[in-house]
Formats: sequence, structure tokens, C-alpha cells
Amino acid sequence: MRKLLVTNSAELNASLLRYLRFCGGNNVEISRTFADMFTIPREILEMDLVIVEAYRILEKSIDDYGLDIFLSFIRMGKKGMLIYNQIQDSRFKIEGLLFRVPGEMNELSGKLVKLGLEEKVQLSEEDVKLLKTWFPFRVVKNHHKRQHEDFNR
Amino acid sequence: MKILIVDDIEEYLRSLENSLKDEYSVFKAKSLKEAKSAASEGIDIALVDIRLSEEDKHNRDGLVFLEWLKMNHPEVPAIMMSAYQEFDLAVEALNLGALYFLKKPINLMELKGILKTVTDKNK
Repeated sequence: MRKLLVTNSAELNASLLRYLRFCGGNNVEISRTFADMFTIPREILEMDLVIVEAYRILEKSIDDYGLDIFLSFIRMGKKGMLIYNQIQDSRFKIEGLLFRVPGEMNELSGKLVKLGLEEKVQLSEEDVKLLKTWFPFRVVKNHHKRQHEDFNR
Repeated sequence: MKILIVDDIEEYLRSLENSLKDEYSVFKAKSLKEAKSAASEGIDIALVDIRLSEEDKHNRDGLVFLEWLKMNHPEVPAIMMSAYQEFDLAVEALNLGALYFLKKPINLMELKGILKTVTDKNK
């Protein structure tokens, strides 16, 4: 299974990659931080599963870009797991799609094995709504106007 | 090597042209119509903004151009850019045949690296 790992830090990526190494199977892993996701290559579409932090931490805010990526993967008929670090919203019942950090290696590998065996992950509209309520952050700076930062003047 | 840059913002076109003109023959287009016309003259690579109208927030003419380019000149590699980071936009662009999706503001070093990779592959 080809896995894409996206978190806020290279350190968290390194720790999770160590976990993933023990999950067995013929795996290919690509790890990225959100900062790397400014450049999205075509190979991203070839990944079977994304493991992504729900929040992206920006300089002065946080947003739910991770949730965006997760939901896009599910819409593409692929698999996804959301990493988060607060109390779980107990109304969300599809527990295998979530991994709370810091967590146990056994728990992560167990969930990944289960996910790998599932044919397709399906979220109902209610599930999506619930996830968006649970991870509600969406801060768009100057949303009415595109930013044209100086990059070569 | 001819590169077509498509963006409705003159400032962006100028900046990118200035950065790339030493290594590429740069052609510019500000609209879908201009982009199609420039591409028909023959280009080696296209760098295209997804939204080609500041006023219309639903404008996706860059994607329309990408689709047209892949139909009419499938050999021309395309790199898409956007000031918005909805992941679905990136997925749509990549599904339509783009090689990369870049979030604005563009990191020039990164862009030059990508262009080099793409042009080396196509040599």
C-alpha cells in the first residue's frame, strides 16, 4: 500500500515513519509537511492512503487543510486516516479513521491493517458534517482578494 | 525552449517573465483566448494560473485551458498554479493532466527546479 504522510513537522513525520515501518506489507511511504504541500506533484494521486494531521499550523493561525486533504482522498475512493491530538468527538463512530497522538504503535498498526483490508471507505454526509464541526478551523486571510506577495521584485 | 505563462495579473506575468527569460523564451497570455492562440503557435511547456479573472471567484479558465491543451497538444507538459489551496483544485488539475500544482506565492527556486526536471525529461 502506498502511503502519504502529511503532518506539521518533520519530527512527527519521522516518529510516525518509524511506527509505519513495523506495520508490515510491501509499503511505499512518502512523508511531507504542510509547508511542502505548496508543491503538489502528480505522484500524490498514485497514493492509496493518506495519513494526515487534521490541523495545519500556520504562522498566526491554524486551519483544517488536513481535513480537506483527508476528505479529498476519500472522495477519490482512496483511504485516509486523520491524526489529531484532542478529545475525540464521540459522535463520530468510524473510529478506524482516526489516530490520536501520542499513541501506541500497536493501535496505529492495527488500524492500518484494518483499513488496508477494507474495500472502500465511505463517509455519509452526516459523518462529513460532524468532522467539519469537530475540526472547524478555516481561517482564510484576505479571502476577498488574492495575495500577490513579492517573490521576485 | 518556449514557455507560455498564463495569468490574468500583469504583475505576476512580468515577475515570472523576468525570472525565466534568461533560460527560456517566454510567451505570455492573460486570458483563455490568448492562451489558446499562443499555444497554437507552438510551445514546449505551460505554466498556468487556475483563475483567470480577478472579478469572478468561480472562474476556472486555467483548468479549461489545461483540458484544451491536453486535447490539442498532449505532448506539452503543464504546471498549474493557484493562490488558493483547496486540495480538490489540485486533484482536479492533476487529474486533467497537469504535472504539478503550485501554491502561490511561487517559490522561484522550486519552480526552476521543477521546470528543469520537466524539460530534461522531455529532451
